[in-house]
Amino acid sequence: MSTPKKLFAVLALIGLLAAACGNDDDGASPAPAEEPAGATEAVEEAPEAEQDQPVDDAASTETPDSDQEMAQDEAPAEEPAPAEQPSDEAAAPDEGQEPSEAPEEPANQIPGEPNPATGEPVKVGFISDGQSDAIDNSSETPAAEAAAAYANDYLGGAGGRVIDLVTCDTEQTPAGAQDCVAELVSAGVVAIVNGVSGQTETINAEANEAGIPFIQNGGISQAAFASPLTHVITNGLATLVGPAAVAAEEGFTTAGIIVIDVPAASGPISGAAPLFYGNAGVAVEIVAIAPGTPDMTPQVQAAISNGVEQFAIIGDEPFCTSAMSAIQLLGFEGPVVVIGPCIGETSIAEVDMEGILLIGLTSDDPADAEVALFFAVMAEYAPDELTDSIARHGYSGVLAFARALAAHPEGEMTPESVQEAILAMAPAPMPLGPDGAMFQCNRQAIALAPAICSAASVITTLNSEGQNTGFRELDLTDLLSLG
Amino acid sequence: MADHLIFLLLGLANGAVFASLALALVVTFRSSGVVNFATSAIALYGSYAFAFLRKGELLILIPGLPTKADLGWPFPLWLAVITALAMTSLLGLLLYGLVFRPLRRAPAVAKAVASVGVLVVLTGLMGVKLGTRPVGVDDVLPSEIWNLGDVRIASDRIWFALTVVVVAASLWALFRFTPFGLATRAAAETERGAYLSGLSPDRIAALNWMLSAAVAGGAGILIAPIVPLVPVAYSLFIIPALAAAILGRFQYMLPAVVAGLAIGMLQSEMQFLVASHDWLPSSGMPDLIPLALILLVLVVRTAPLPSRGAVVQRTLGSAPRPHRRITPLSVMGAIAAVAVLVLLDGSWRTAVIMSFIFSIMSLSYVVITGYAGQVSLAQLTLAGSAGFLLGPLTTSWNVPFPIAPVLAALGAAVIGVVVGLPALRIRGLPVAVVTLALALVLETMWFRNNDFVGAAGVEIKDPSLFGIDLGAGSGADFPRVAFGAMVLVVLVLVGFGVSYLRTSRLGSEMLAVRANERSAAASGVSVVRVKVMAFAVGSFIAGLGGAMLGYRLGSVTFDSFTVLLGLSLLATAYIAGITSVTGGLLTGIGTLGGLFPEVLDTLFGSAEYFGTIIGAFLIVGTIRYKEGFVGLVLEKRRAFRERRRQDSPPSGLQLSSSFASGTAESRPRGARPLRVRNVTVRFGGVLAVDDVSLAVEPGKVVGLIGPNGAGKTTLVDAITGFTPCNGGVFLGDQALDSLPPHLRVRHGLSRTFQTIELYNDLSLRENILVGQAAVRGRGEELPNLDSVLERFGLGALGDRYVGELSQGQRQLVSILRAMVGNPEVLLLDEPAGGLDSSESAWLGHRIREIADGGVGVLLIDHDMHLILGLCDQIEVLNFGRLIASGTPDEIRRDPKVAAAYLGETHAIQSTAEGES
Repeated sequence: MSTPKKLFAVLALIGLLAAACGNDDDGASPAPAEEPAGATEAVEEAPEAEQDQPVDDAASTETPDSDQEMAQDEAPAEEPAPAEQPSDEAAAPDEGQEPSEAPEEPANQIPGEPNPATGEPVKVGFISDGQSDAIDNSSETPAAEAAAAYANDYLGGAGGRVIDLVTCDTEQTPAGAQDCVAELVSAGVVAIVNGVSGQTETINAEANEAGIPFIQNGGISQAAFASPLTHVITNGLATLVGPAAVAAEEGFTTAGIIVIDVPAASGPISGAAPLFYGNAGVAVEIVAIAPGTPDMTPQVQAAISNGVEQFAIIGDEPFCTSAMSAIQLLGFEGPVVVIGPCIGETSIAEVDMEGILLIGLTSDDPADAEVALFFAVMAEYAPDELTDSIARHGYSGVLAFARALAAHPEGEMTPESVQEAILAMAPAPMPLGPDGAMFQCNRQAIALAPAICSAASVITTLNSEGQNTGFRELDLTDLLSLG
Repeated sequence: MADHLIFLLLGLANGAVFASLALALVVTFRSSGVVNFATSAIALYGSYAFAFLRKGELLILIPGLPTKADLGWPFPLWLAVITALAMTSLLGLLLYGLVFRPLRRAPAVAKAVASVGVLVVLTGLMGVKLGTRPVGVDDVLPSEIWNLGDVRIASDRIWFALTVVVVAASLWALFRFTPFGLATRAAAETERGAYLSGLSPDRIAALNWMLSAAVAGGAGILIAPIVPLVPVAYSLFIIPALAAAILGRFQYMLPAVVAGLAIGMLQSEMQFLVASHDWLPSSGMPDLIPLALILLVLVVRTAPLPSRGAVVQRTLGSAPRPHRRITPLSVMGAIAAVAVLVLLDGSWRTAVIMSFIFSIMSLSYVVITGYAGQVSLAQLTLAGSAGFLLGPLTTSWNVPFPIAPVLAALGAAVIGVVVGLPALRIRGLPVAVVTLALALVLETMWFRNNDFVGAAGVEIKDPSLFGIDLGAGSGADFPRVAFGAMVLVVLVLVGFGVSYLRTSRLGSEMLAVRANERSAAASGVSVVRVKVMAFAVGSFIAGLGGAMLGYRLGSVTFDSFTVLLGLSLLATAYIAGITSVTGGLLTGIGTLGGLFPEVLDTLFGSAEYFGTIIGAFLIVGTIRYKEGFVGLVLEKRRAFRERRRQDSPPSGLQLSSSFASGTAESRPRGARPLRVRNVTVRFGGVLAVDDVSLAVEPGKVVGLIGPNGAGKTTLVDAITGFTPCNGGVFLGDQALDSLPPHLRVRHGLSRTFQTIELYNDLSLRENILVGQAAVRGRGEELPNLDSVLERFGLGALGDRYVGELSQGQRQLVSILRAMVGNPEVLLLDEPAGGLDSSESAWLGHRIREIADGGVGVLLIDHDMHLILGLCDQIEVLNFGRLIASGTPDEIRRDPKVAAAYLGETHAIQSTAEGES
């Protein structure tokens, strides 16, 4: 494969991922029940959760464009996936209402022996998008702090040193994200951690320029995939490649991807999708929906008229709900593949979920050790906080960071030594992953996107209640090649 | 063909969304004159209320109280609809009482800004109280699938569209046929009129606000099943809805609804075309539809100058003339800014720099809106265009630092002129909406288009000058002082530039255009040139700001420059004071990302109601400070000056006898006669001026009289080019009839207006300065203004705003303004209006002196003393025709004239007797 082509592919990919990252509100565990914490209540109950301040909301307030939110949401592509475990009971999401319920089920007993960190505290930056009228990521930072506290008490911190989390809020603008990185670097952090963000591009660029390792759980961005100091724990590419694999299995010739029409989302997708779908032998049609489109039936009908046999949808819950409604309204009968953030109380109520395919990367099955650990940690360190998918991202980012640094040598800790330790890490359990899932940031997991630390991805078919009916692993190896 | 039909049908749902919001916009505007940007937020409130009722919960949107109260049982559909509508009309009543009632006499722009404040408050409240988790709503209208060939259409969408049409028709009938409707229309005309008919305008307005809020709420309920509810769900629907409302002229409900439906359907068709034709741009094409429709309808329909009687309302605060450009205060300010920049660090320094940047952008509003009176909602977008241009300029073409941002800003200026072009033919709020639609098109077709902008945005190379790195830096090094200093230098330059502009001729001409386009044109100002210049200069400034923001970000994406952000920046600028440089600086400090929010944040932590508070600031500011917060400062300064002026002579009309000698040095050049040949003016089917011919010889005073409505002013309008006409207008041998008004003035044809039409926001001196545009246009030497004023007895009043002068003084100024244009023929439209008899006699002498100086004068007046005593020749007009012509004596005796005046016969006769 010629180098330029390779480059292109990587770029494209990445972007795509970027697109995919984001927050899905509750999305995470669509299938399984618990987490769909009713954001509504949640917000009011734990409103001030930290510092996320709506500050610029002012800005966002007036700018309430949905683009913004979408852009970011889009991104979230991957995360939500429920575990591959055929989740047993997979509670119905609907009931999820009360956030607190979920944590109660598991025993809440943190497994393992305490192993308090004894070394000098080390500053680690944590960036969140916080809260605005468009996007509410306010559960992210408390969960990150819970993970840090857990790591400090049970994992010996990061390489034996106490993790001192310095937090910052992007205010959901590029300028705010830029400020954040500057602030954290000035504070002397050795690394910057994030769960998911709509500002990944900016954080990634600024962190790499400042020479600070950047660890992100669920976000992806074009640049981030290629950036040497960036490590992305979960495989966001799956949201794009997964549907291509499905289309190939079905023997389709044309498949569509419905995505919000902002460059951060549609750009990477239109760049990367032709490569992956091409690898699958499927022609792809990008159906980009402008923000502020009330009814998507015209665009969807146009795609159907063009011969699309399958739709993949990348967006947040309101966007996916509109898209799925339009698809069903028009009587389309082919497969519809969605990502975690698409599924929630509202979409389940508005749309017939029977037969919808869901692509995911992490587990939501309380029987999985990592899932149980999450609830135990939250119950112990942040009992009043949400356990929604955003919280999971924040938690996972910090926990993955601590695990990656387990073997960091004693003594001074600098951005350089952190980067070295991450590259040299041994495989470690994927936070919130299904049993047995591991991550390793040695830049080998996916050749196309060296920043990604894991190639795992799973798929499930939903029943009419929006519950999963068992996961199976998706083998994307062929499609992820450069063809 | 079938395909096209199907796609038009599929677009019906979107069309119904826009149509329903457009209907709410029109209902609000008709009754209150408010272009309500908060309409979509009110609609959203209605749909949330409805959704909660359906679940058996009552939505409570008050901070401090729980978000919902359990009602025990889910409301059935119709009860939920009625209750939700009642709740939104209550909201409407609240909005009227708290916000729009205090603003009922405020300019339209202020009301629009307040509505932006309401939008911010409502969205903020819903954001905090309801969170971003979507809420779904079950079908409201019967929903089944109808098969149309192989395409399926959901019946609820069709019903939705029909419902909107039916509601519009019912509202039309309500306004047309009920006493309430009649009262509303009467009150909309004049508040006093409503009082006379025994109605309380207050109650009518309150009812109308309740009605319009309910319409918005109803729209929201109908939209809800299609669009899952989040606090920002409906925000972008407002733009096509505004376009539809504009197409209904904000007056006609059914046309607005039809326009809304058409926009949705055509957008759907456009989607189909885009999907089936690869060569069409993939982004933004549907957004062209509302824009194209507006341009088509508005621009084609509107006349280039407002007609007589068009409501000329003072829309903005005064734009104070800086006395000295470099004041100790501004020097201190700059020094303080440098100190702050160096001393602060981290996020504080960032906030300071952002304040500088937004100040630069706000100064563009000062030029376009504050000075030239054009409301542009596209300035932030134009700033963005410079940012996006700066990318390729610095990376692909390696243009070095000071040149690249200037080129980028020039690019923005060019685009800005294009954005401003519609303003040449339309004015007022329609201009604002067109700029908004254009901004959206720029955003979608460029900033958000994958073909031009990658996911990471457009990268911009750091600036450096003479080897000094001026970049914003990164990491711990961000933001660098050098970068802040560069931005500050740009701000200072722009600030002085704008301040200089205010005192320059172009600035005076802008204010003249802002105050009164007709009279500006009558002074020889090219209104077109001034507007184009305003958009060019303003957009250049915005572009500089955008370039600075681009440098600060390192790579630009659309989200720093969205249309809705631009709306909030304008609102902030308006509140801070849009008519002065100081106000612009204040905007930078107060806007998001600036210093003030940073201070608030530090003092109070991140309050969840921050957005709500900002919105409340906007509303309170609009109500309390007509000239923006900066008005506080200006009032003090003005009061101070006023006190110092106590010593100066009292303002009375000083009857100097040297009027003509005052213009002695501005002698007419070749003294050519004005000849009007067979001029005919038609307004629709009405013949306003019918085949009139007359002549005004140099040095002669020709009177033009006739009963009210005879067509006198129309004839003057025709002669001076303010009204299109058939026939010939010649100055000597030169035909003027094909020239626009300002060029006729430059050729020597000056006029005054019956309504005087001075520029109240300009000082006396500036008013007259504007009048010299004609002389400058001819490249002649200008008379010394001070000596002219001195000789007219106006010297002491030169710095007064003409709004403060007496009627007589104002008449004098308006004549003087026409005279300094050094005309050959002067057309005076009722110059003695409002003068007492001694003043009137004095004025007669002055006019005679003007004529003696070789100027031909055409004089319209109702003061028969003046006319009969002064004129060499009198023309009598009735029903648009000349019915008599002759010397004063002949006219006095003409029975036709007497007949025309009917009741006034006696007056003429007695006058005549008095004379003789």
